[in-house]
Amino acid sequence: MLAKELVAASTEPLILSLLSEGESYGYALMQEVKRLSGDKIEWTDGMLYPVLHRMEREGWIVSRWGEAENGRKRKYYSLKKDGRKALQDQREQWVTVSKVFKRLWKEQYV
Amino acid sequence: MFNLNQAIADWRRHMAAGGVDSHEVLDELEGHIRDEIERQMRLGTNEQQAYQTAVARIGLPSTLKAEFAKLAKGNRPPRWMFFRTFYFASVACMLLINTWTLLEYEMSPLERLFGVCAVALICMYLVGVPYLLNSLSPALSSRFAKVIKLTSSLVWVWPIWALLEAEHIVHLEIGIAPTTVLWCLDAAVVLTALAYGLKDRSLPNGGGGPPPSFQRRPQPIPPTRPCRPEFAGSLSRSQAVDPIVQESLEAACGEASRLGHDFIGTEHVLLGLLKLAKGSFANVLRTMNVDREVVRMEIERVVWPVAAQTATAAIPFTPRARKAMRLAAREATVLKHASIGAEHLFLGLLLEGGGVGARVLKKLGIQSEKARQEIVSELRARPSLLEGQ
Repeated sequence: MLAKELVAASTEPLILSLLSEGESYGYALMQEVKRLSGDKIEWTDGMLYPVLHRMEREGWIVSRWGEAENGRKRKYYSLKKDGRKALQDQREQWVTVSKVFKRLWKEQYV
Repeated sequence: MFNLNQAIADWRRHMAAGGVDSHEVLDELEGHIRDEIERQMRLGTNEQQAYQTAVARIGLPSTLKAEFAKLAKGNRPPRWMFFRTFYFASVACMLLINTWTLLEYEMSPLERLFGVCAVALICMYLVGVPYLLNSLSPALSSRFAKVIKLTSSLVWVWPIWALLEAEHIVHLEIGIAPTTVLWCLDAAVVLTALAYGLKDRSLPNGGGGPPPSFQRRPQPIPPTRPCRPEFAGSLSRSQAVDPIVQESLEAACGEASRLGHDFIGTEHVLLGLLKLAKGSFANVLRTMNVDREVVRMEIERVVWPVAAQTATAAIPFTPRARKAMRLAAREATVLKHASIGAEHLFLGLLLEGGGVGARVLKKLGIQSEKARQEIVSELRARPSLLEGQ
């Protein structure tokens, strides 16, 4: 399991990256992160929504209520232009950190 | 037998009571819980256990409330910032243009002083009104909205009058200073409406829920089942009960059914009582400024209609509703009244303290001690227990 601070810091770039692949909703985002990290990144379910709402307020993402395949209503989020820009900025920062570790540890997986 | 819809309705009430009472947020969290339950049930977990795990994973209302409160204090959307800047810039322009007009045109010093003071006061009011609006209680806010609507509907009168005067169709010489003040008042009405629109509704509690565009009114669910309140043991058998109380409890059952609830809680009893309020009880409500519509809106903000289910058994009262009824009977005895009336039931709801009914009334500023005093003074003419015996 990852440290709480690292999980918190990576939440926004992870959400932005997932939404850059297309529209999604809270529960699916959480499951996808869990799957991609091999269950190592696990968000507290309730805590995801304040983050999504904050990102929406910042104008990075936009939401709409739609109908799920099971007929229930569901809130879908998608990336906005500002969100793509934010993703680009955050990506550069994470890549910089990653490169530093790669050089320090000389490991191919960093 | 575990009932998932009922359990989720209870969870929503619990969250709302804990401060997360934005319908939009609760809808989204409910969707999450249902998705998680479905996933767990596919893995072989039974419904009740899946529900308990899903709810536990969502977290405590206090934690979520704190997270959403941080959000409310955070960045505002650009459009909100634009309107807020526009609002304060308009007030500043209004002050400058009208002060310049009053200083530039010839008029008596007294008229000038009156004009400048009036313009300054109107501008001070406009600067303070956004902050004032955020501190109003829901009841006062609702009344303020009515006043804004009424005055806004009359806002066109003065510009039309000024146009007619400019075209020499009508003629009324009132002087530069009063004309300037009237223009200021007209602009103040428009800006007050704008300030009301900018009112901070972003907090999941206290701040009044989400912004208007966010808010979805609860859709009444038509009753699909027979509504029979389970009266047995609800009220004291040794005391007489006013017919209005029986009718109110039946109305409470109707309210529970309308909201798709399988129980009659203190909120339904309160709604039933207010629906049928008449005579001395209606006087008490009027004296205490209890607006039925405001109470109904506040309750429907906290509890949420759920899909109606088919129930064959009579709808039971919750333990809190039963407690409120026992307290009503006790109040009637203490006040030496011959029968339990609507006023006693209202007091019982207030004294119960922890239910949705009591919490809503307290939020609207209604205190049990004050209510008791009003009821005692209203019911002086009511026959006492001794007379009744």
